[in-house]
Amino acid sequence: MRKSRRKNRKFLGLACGLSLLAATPVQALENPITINGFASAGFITGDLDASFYSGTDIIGDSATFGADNTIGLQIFSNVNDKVSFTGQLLAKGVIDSYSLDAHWAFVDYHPRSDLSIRAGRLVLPVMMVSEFVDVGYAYPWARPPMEVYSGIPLTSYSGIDMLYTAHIGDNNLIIQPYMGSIPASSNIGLDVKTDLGIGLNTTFQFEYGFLRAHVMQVKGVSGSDPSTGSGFIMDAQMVAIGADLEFGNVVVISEYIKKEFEFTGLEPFSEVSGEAGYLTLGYRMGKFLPHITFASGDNDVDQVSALDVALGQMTADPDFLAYMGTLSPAEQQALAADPIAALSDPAVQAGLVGAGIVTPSELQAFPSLAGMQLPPSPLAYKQTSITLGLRYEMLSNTALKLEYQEIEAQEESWGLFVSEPADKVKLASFVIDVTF
Amino acid sequence: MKKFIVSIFIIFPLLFLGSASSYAGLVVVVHPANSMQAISKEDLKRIYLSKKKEFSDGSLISPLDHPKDSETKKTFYKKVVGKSLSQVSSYWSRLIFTGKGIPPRVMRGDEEIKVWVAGHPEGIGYINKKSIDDSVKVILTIK
Repeated sequence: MRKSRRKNRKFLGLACGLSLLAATPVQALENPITINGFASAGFITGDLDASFYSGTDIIGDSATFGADNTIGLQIFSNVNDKVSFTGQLLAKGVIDSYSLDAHWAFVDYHPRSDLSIRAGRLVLPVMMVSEFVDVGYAYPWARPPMEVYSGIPLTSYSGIDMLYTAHIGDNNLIIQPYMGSIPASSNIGLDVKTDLGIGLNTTFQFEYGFLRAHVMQVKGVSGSDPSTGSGFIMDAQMVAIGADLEFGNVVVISEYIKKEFEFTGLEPFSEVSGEAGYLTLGYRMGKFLPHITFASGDNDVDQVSALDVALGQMTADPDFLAYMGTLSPAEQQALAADPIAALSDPAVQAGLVGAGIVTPSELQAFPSLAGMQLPPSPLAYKQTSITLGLRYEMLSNTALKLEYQEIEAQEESWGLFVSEPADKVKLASFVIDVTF
Repeated sequence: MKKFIVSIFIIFPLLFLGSASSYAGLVVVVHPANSMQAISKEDLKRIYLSKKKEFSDGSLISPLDHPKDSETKKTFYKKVVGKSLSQVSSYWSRLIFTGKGIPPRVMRGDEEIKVWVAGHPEGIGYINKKSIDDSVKVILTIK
């Protein structure tokens, strides 16, 4: 329901944009609208007992078709020689539902050839591929390495950015600062939205490809935990670097991200800090590009134990305060100092159950909660993977991709799986990507 | 016999010329009034990848391209940019779908490119050597 409301709002925005274009028929004739598009269709198979966060979506489970199904349509038009308009509609298939989004919708003011100011709906450039993560044709993999592209906001935002190109000899340095409001996003496992996020993306283009660095800060994000519906505040910082290089036929792509999330009011987490990275090596052989990717994601969670959560819920109950009032000062002190020991006292147990604060079965479960960790989320994972891939340029603007992937969740983590995975999960993906 | 050897010496290079005539070379052309007399392959590569957008006098460059899959285009990108057409379209898909760049204007072929360049001082294009005429100025020959 929430999603469809969001959709309608976006359509309204796009409709306004389109009617603006339609309102200037003379210019429209002189500056025809350019239409471009892209599409991907995929098939995934292997050990799919548990579905997983692929970066942009949750895929896997029993559905093997439709994992990477995407279609995008883009319109572009020059309003005059300094102003242009771009709109991009994106339809994505995720297992049993399709979403339709106005992914990009912005006005571009470019007073000079090296300066562009864009306002409207833009996409966060958190990682190297983030802005075109749905355009499979633009990169060698079936999908970008999930260890790096999960647990970060990969969304559109409403705001403004600037693209300034500085020429340094024969090389270019592109500076892209941005700021805006980031709408609700669930690809970090929590529904969050922010009033203000700011960031800076810099790209250095040179003979062998490009290097990039990105920093981003979001403050005072409000959100709700989908499992409990409780509200919280999140602050986040992210720093990422990357390289996309070609030396003759050798392709080298690598990225690294360091991220920190701080939560206030979200029960199980107070802080998540993590890092992730990958290295892709490929070798072009005519129409074929075989490649191998090593990826790793390691996030540490300052996680409150399930026991603390349960005790927190119990002590927040007004009935509990009333019950405390009936105890002697010494008993109150004992309960506060070591709740587990005090809860083993039959008199306390009878009192709590009698006051309706806990049930006998809940009381029995308390000691076992001490060692139990809460389920992982895409924010908190430890995982490594190795991927062997082959991209084949079948026809012009059509690429076929085959991939074999071995994924290992590390330590106690479930990795990026939504339920406990096998020791080593083996997956094969087949994707066809086109642009037009 | 002597006649035969001489005729071989005459015919053989002709045969060679004949086979080479399928690729007689490409030339890069601009408007006759363009002050530019020559261009390096490196600069041309950067213009066609949208990394260089202005002539040295600060005026905007409008590069022109051939239809996709045309042999002329394939040759140009291989020799000048050092990339296959699929690599080039993958490169452009990153720029197009992030609103960061617009690929060169696509024309139908040599004749249309000459007409456009002759009418636009900001134009630059590549055509087959055999299509050269006075309407445009050659600033680079690609061998």
